[in-house]
Amino acid sequence: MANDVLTPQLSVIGKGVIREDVRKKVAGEVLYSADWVMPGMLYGKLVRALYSHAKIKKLSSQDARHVPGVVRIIEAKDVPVNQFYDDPSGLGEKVAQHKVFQDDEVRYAGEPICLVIAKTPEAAEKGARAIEVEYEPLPSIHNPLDALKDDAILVHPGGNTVVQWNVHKGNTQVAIQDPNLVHISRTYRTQFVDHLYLEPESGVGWVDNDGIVTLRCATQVVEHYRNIARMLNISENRVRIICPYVGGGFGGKEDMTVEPYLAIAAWITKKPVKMVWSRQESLQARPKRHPFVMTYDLWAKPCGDVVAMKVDVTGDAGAYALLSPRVLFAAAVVATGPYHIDHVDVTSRAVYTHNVPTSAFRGFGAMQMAFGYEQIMEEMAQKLGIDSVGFRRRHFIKKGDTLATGEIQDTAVWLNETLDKVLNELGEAPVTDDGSKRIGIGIACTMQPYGRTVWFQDHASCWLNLESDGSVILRTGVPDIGGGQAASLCQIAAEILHVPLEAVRAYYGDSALTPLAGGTFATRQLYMSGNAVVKAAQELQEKIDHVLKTAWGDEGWQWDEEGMAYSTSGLRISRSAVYEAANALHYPLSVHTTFHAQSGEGYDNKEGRAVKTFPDFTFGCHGALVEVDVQTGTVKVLRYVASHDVGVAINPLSVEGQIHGGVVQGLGYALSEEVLYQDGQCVTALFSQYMAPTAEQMPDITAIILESHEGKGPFHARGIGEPAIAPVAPAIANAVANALGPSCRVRSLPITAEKIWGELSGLDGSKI
Amino acid sequence: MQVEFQFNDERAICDIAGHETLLAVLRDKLGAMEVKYGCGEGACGSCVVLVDGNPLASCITLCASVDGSDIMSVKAPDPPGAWALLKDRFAAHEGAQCGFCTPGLLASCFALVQRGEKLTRQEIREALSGHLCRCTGYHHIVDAVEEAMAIWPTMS
Amino acid sequence: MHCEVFGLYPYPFDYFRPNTLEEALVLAQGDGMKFLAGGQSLVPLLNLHVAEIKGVVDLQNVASALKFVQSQQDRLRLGSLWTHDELSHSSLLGGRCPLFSQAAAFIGHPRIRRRGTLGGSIAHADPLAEWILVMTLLDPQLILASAKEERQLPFHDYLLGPMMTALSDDELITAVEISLPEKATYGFTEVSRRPGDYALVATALSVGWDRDRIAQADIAISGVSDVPRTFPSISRDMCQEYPSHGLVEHIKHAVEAAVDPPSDVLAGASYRRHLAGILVEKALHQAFDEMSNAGETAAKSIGKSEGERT
Repeated sequence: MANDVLTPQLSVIGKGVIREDVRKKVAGEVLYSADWVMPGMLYGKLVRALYSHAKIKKLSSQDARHVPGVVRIIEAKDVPVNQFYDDPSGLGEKVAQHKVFQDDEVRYAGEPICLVIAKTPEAAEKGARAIEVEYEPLPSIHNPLDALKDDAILVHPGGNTVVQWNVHKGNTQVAIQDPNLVHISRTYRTQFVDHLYLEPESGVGWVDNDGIVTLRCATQVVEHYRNIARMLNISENRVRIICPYVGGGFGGKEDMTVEPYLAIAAWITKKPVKMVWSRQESLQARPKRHPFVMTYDLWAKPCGDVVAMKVDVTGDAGAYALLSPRVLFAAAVVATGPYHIDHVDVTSRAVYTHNVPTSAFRGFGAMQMAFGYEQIMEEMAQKLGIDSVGFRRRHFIKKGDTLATGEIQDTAVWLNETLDKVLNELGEAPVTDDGSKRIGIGIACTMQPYGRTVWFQDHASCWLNLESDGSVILRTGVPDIGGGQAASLCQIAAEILHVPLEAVRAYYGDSALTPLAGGTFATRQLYMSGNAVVKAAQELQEKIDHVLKTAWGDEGWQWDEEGMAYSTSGLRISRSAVYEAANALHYPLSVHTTFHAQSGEGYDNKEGRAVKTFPDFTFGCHGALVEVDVQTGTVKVLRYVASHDVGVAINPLSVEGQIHGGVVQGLGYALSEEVLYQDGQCVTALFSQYMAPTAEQMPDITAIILESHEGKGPFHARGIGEPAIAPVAPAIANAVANALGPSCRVRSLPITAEKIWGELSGLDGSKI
Repeated sequence: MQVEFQFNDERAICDIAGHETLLAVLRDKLGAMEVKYGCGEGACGSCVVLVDGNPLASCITLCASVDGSDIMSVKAPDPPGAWALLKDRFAAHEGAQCGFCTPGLLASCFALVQRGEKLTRQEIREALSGHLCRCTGYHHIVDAVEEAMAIWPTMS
Repeated sequence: MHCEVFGLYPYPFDYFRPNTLEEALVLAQGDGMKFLAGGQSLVPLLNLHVAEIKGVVDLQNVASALKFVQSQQDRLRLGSLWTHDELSHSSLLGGRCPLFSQAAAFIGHPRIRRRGTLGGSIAHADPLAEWILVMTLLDPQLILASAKEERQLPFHDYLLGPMMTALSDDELITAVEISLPEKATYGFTEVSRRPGDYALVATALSVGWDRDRIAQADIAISGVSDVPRTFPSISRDMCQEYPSHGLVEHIKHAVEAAVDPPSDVLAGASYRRHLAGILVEKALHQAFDEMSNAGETAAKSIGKSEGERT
């Protein structure tokens, strides 16, 4: 069992080792997807819909064909299977599938209609502009709450509800009858945001010598080769996806982006085709984070005991389901936060609108909920007139508790520990003598799942070899999107195989040549592939030990720092000697293995119960100190402290990097970022119009890493990629509310200066 | 038209058209793939190179306008070791994760370090505000630059 | 209908880099020609294919000829190709009209400031740009040159609307000429969504002094109408007054009452109105403080005195 590995004295694990990929990256030596060049390469440009809802009456490509350099126009009719098939919940829920090219009814502005292939990027762009589409505009619907009404315009014939999840625990109806209970009801809202990774969606596709459709592209999931095969109506063994280092993903490269278009273009033209989406195209039309409307009802005894919680969540799925069912499921599971509550009713639903589709984004539905539960807890404490920190502590879930879903939390819950660290580090809020400024302090405690829901039967494979010179090759299908995914796996292999880190080389992210590891999403790669590498490395080490014993006798073999085996009798054997000996014994030092995650049956949505949903959660606490200018409403973050229990930090430097990055992305989410739409049309399609944080207004961040040694990953690590972003917005919201004083609180994101001013001047949103 | 400029200490002579941006020429004609397209608005900083020592966004610089200039990217030969110092400190502090913004960012850092600037952490943040990094949260970047600024005077 | 296609690189056009201003002006007579100064605004539009042109006339070789400061008693003539960064150093204007350095500090980030120019910004005429606000306040004469003629146009006749000006395709802004009161102080302040970005609302104002008394004042605000506007009658209220809290309050309320801002996705009308008031208040304090710091007036630095703290 992988989790039993805990070498008493670790040599590589837990060290802030310098990642080799970072050395290459800072030297400018990494070729990303857009940097690939092939002889005779063509260029593709998508033609996207202008309207958020319209019937396509006619598509004329006559003029485009005459643009010099244009080679081919690819339309819906050219695609063997012009349809994607997803089962995003994994439970067979029926959802509206999207097409490769829309040829009938456009459902969001930016939906792909056809593809122009040309000899130069400029010609492709000119060609795309020359495509004429005749539309019959139709009325559209953009507010998900309106879309739920009986007479709402239907986005798809089956109704506007994509999916609805229920979580039930205890008996809320009965529990809330007690007339002495204090009840509050609040609604919190979140916005559309963009991943804004620096590398736009890009790649090159070609058909190789053996007729294999090959895509080298920026993706979080090389397994999309299966979708491509289905689209081209060819067998899965004829499509290959190669994923070089990705310039950031954050969930935005989890759904396919350029993949189907590169594939169909290469398939039809039989030439290499490159496509790079312009930044503005990406901002306008690629999936965003779900805006949520969350209504929380909380009942507590006057003494401060929470009795019951009801949560109603509506997420805007946009025009197509994509991963919405999964996102809203994660939302439902953590809706009550890291709190033990006896009576719970949660309903979460995704709703179709004629907005841009929403899908995966770091935090995946669970992080939006933190903005709800960490504020309702604070507001209830305020209402009861008790200390909100103590109120939280009383209700923190503990190891062994039953969660709202009915599952048992079976690993350590270090909420108090992380909270203590944060409070200690933050100290008391300083007093300002500037009358126009107010200081506020706020915290948030959260839980965030890592790994996929158990009914996906998640698994990850890898292949580990000892080479003749004693070096080690690790082959794994992980896409490395910047978090050091490949580097951590090398550390794990080096640790178990007693070799220097430099001796391990990872080949990664190739669906044809590296064993499939599943995508880099759901904070699953360290957990899944990390465990796979532990398993492979242990098996390989056993084989090496066996060879040593067989060839040189059993003499209590140990390993020195250079990776040499030495025996009590003074023998010193190199790994290349071991390799040769193994060869002579016909005993290959090669392990291909698969790690299977804890699996379980599907979710009982009728009862709202599960034996298990996600494999485990990562817990943490963040705290912020903010200064609010009461004249203008502007916020300055003075201090930020973040603490998580990561089980074990494989590379503390990388863990810190994940926390810093999550915090700053979270601060953008909390304070400034929003993709704005008017009637479904993006009005912030420029990079310079999207208010992602720059270094200037960001504070230094104190990251405090705790290690409970109870995670389910390798060496008992927990995932940290997504958990780091979840607490930020509620911590800031609570800090701002603390600064503003009683009865002032901004309950919608982003917490702009204007909204704060509105609270201070007693205006409600409608008057602003 | 023909333009001639120094690129990383090599003479580059290119036949270009008037509309071609420096970014397009460096990437497509000179194969300098370390110069990245990130936004096309001169806003993200991924395409920044040094033109006569000044950090410029190559995506909004016409190549014709840099005729005769001395242009450097992160791959420039580096006898005094300022690039090497920056690269080393960035690696040591993990000032890059996905690495896409890094070559452009390093160009601006190089200009700061070479000028002998000794800035506070907040001043470093302001000086780098034309570069967006979405992975690191900037903290490790500031660590790296701060250290490089402290070490550089002892090297030069 | 044709699709909106945001591009990566510009469509083809020609490039010229004249060595003299005369040559530049002759080249600009060609059809579809555009002057290229810093390129900060123009090239993104070309990359995105929002603008299409036949050619650019790169001004880099004539820039030095358009970087000058001519200082006269009541007047200041500034070449148009000073960069934001150069203008941010108050020494450039010999300490006169510090409004320029105050405003320049709010523009973009270091890379933008080193590259963008005064003339480029005025020609682009983004209504939220700092220079457009400063020009609205100072209402200078713009010196516009073409191959055929040189003309002067007051700024208020030049700016026709958001990104719309009276500049002909073949004309170049070569200089701005500002009339300066004998003794004046300035205020400039803004609120933007992120440091360095275009303001939601910005205020620039000037106060001309007759000893310690206000001889004359002008106020301009952007973000409360389609282009920056001035407030002549409110400004007149300040004449002959001494700086005081009461005066600041009066002006603030008058401005709040006078503006009729639009609501858009970035900010609502009420908030813009509120900001206009707050920013006028802050800018007035700047202008008054500057006067008192110069020791020219008995009026104490209001707002900073002990009694003011709450």
